[in-house]
Amino acid sequence: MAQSVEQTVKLATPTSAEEVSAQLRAAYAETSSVGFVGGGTKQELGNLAKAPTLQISTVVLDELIAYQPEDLTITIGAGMTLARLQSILGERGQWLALDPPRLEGETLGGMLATNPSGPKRLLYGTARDLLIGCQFVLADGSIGRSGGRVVKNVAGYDLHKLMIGSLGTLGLLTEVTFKILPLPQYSEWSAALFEKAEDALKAARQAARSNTSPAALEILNISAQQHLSDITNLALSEAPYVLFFAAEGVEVAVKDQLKALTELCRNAGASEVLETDGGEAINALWRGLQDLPNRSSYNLRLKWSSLLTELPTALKSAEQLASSLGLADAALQIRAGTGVLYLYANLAEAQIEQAASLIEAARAEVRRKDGSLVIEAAPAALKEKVDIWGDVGDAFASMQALKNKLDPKGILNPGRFVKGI
Amino acid sequence: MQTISKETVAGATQARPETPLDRVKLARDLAAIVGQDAVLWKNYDLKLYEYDGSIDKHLPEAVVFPTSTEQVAKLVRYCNRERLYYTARGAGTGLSGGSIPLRGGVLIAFTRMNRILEIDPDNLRAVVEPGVVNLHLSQATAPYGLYYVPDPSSQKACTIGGNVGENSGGPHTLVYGVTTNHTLGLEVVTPDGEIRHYGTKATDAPGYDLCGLFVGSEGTIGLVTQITVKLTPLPPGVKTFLAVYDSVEKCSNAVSSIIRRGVVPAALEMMDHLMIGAVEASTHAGYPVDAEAVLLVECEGFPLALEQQAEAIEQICLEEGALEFRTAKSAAERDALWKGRKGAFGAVGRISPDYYVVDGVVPRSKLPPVLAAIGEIAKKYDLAIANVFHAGDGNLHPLIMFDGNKPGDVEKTLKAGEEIIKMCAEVGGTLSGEHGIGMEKRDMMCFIFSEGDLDIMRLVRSTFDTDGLCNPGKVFPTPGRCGETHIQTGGKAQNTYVKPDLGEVW
Repeated sequence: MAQSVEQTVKLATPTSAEEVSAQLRAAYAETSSVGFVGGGTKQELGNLAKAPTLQISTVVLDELIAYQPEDLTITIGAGMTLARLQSILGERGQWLALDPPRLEGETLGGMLATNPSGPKRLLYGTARDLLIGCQFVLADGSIGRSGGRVVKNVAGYDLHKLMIGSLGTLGLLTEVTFKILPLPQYSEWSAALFEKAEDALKAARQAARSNTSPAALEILNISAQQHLSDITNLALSEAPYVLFFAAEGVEVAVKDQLKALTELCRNAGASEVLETDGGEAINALWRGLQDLPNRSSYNLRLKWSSLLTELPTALKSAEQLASSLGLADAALQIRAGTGVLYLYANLAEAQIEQAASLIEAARAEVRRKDGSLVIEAAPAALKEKVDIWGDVGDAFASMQALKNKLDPKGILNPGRFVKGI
Repeated sequence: MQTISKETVAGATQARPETPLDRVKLARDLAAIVGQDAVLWKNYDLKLYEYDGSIDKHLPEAVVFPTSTEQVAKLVRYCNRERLYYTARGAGTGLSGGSIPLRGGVLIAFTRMNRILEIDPDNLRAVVEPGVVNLHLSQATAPYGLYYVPDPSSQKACTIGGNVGENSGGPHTLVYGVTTNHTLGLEVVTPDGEIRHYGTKATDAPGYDLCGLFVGSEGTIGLVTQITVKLTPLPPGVKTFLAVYDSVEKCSNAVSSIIRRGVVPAALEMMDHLMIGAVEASTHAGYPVDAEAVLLVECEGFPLALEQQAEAIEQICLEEGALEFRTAKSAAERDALWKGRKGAFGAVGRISPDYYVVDGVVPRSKLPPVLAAIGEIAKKYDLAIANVFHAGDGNLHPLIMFDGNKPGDVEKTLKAGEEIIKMCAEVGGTLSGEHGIGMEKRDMMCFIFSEGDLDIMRLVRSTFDTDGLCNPGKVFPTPGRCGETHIQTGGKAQNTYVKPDLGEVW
């Protein structure tokens, strides 16, 4: 349930976009607040806010609407779970090329509203690269569509892009169409061990720039490696930083790519490069890296986004933050080809005050170089002290204008998005 | 329901009153912002800016060539104050009328804002002004082993700003995506004259994805003044193939088969008999003129993988009845094949006095029946239609040949074009894959969107373009006219068609 001031929330479970429309129309007429819920797996995301009067659940909107495997597109109700979608596609040797941390019951609508991503985004992109059309319902109950069911389409505005990551503040997605891909024929991971973080980051930067097209470049510190070992049962090295790299596609290509990447890591100062012993281990490693943020004991999850060349600074900043708070076991996971750094830790009550000011300072630093720092999860007490999204610059006026236009009474998920939208 | 009045949303009602415009004063005012050598206002000069690559045209009242974002912001504020319409223009290669100043006013041409501001190879980014020519960016980044992926056929002339406006594609976007997938940040001048920054050079900027909304908005919600794009490492190796067929059907089956088996090449282009003849006559690239259809396939990767992919594709092509499967033996041979493909539109100019490029998309499995139906439409209207298109993503480009001087030909051509687009919509496709809606297809939007869908898009537009002055008359149907052909443009089209200087470039 959302971290929020207690209040009785009504729950509606509409069975069609028309029902969603009627429920929203009624709420809009009364100017009463509405929140949306799919699997309820990410209700903690966003700023603290009063619980809405009505929660609309999409779980019944889980129909398979259109699937022609040879077109490599699929249209489904937004309430379908990601797991079910992947299983439908898997039967035909295809997949939706998104690998966010797996959460039991997570729906596509919820995933799109919160826009998580995973290790393989380096090769396949994020939701904005794969969502090609949608149906949605706005605050006043009006039903709209954008995009379509073909992979290339420039007709009309890409409103579906606006919906991605908007935390249900612009409308509710009821139906979505994705571009899908054949499952890779083959994939493989290796691990390069580094003494120094800068070397690992440099290797990743060179890999991202090279023509080896890695599928993922993930750097873990010791705590993160320990955690990975716990969930995968894979044996681990003692190296302070490990760069896990993957390639996938045609087997001969993967072998060549990994060879080139291995060479590159060695040149960048890797003390050793370990191959995964094939089969299940490869899958386990990927799943482990994908699910790393899920550990229930973490109550703090911070996400830095920065340029690749600024990752060393972001890393220092994250390490300083952890050491200032005495979070010796803070796990760091760096999506080193994309420029995203995650810190997972467990924050005690007494550290809230200090954490707030440290986060503000780290955020100011990363913002100077065009980056951002988002608090993906935190104790409510911390959220009371620090904005979870940070400043969004001069784009905010346009964001606010858009919100005012599409939800003039501000009834959708009020207060949780950027600067209190 | 929110009441969305069409009269107030992006409409014409708030524009300046119909009093004659003092052209000399306008030119003087504009010169005060951009300098005297950056304003055109005499009819003789304006004539060059009344058209783009589409069939429509309209004269602006002045053309300005700003050199900075500040100047663009001042121009927009000036237009607001004077209630003047304004429209952005890049190289004018657009094919849907996006840069035509439909209601006159000021045409803001970005050709002098053509600096590559930054190439940042370590971060795989470049920052460019909107007037940078598409191909110039890839040429400038090649020494770093990087390139900018979207490669519209007009890439020798078209600008990145125009590409952002139209969300342009190109043959090599099959795997890597179109303009929107390579655009991370925009500096824009919004219609209220403010300079704003959407998206960032780093990934995952929090807040609404306004950059994603802006790309492909066809210049209707603001003017882009700076673009941050993603650069991609050049592939380690490339192989180009040509599969030759004695029927269009076999060739399109091969396309479906390649996609179905999960072999996704970097490019997958198809041309039919008429098109092959035209292309070969103009470029001598070595296309077989007696073939009914050819498939141009390009794969990228490491040598061993390339071999394997080549074998897989050859096998599929032969299984689907290819008469011949050729591999380009040298870079020169490959370049010739691509020169032929990218020069296809212009090549048609050699065999027909006029032609109309149609841009539609269908689900890939529907290619064979749709191509057959296009043949039927050609027969029905007694017009020759050549086909060249991005087969891999189902993006058709039938070229309807006609003679603008022959009475009734233009009308017939537009009817046939609309019938093709309607068919694309009916089989689950869309109106445009990369050329945009602009003026050309605004009245066809109802083929795929309901009035309610369009009202919501109009509402989004009015969020930015509160006064309806920014590129008016584009994208959205004229109220009450949705689904009607725009025959009214036919008369103009007859005068507009001669553009010999652009033939090569297309």
